[in-house]
Amino acid sequence: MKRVFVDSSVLFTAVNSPSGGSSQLFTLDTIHLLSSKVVLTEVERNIRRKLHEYHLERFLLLVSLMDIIISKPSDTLIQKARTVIVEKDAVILAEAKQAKTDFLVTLDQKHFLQEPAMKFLHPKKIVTPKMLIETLSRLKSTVINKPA
Amino acid sequence: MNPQPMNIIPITEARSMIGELTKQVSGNKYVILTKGGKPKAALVDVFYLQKLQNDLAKLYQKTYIDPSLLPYTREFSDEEIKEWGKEDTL
Repeated sequence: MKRVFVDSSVLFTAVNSPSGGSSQLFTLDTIHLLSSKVVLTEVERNIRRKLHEYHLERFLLLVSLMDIIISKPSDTLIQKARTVIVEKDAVILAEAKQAKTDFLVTLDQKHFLQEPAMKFLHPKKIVTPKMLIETLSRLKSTVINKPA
Repeated sequence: MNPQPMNIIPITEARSMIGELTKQVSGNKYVILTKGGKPKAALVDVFYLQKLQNDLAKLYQKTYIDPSLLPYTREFSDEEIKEWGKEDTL
């Protein structure tokens, strides 16, 4: 089962819209979703400020479907992340680097889906929910079509 | 506990039958009162109202916000939220 680190943009969007790719990730039984305390703090702060009361209930539900990483990355790792991505995303990139995952899923193409960030995270891959769903679909069909 | 199917009644009609309606609203059964065809108020069992208020209070007490991590977070702009929504379309 593939392990997927969920960033703030994906969790917030999954809470905000039940019909997109971010929400769909929470329905797949072929992946294991993880996130961090920084992501939860950031997303909940924004839900309380920008969305409605019922979104908070959905947020709590979605969080219950993920494993939450407690340990914070070292300052050294965060400093290294700052050399490849903007300040605001450095902690989350460092957390994704430290976590035992196969993918970092994000909707922030402008900052995360860039060569320096991808190299920093290698061999883990940075993908959008749509890219991840397509990748998982291809993997599934490869397994099904594999000769016995 | 899910709410039961509700009655929707114009306020003008409800006035003359408020006693009967009050008897109907027990447990999670409630009545929606409309004005000009639009929902305006609800008649609910007072214990059910208290339960809803308590549930909501509990919900709001539960939080994942860690104050020590707030410096690592930021407020999302409306533009980026909109952009994420577009990017999320399958």
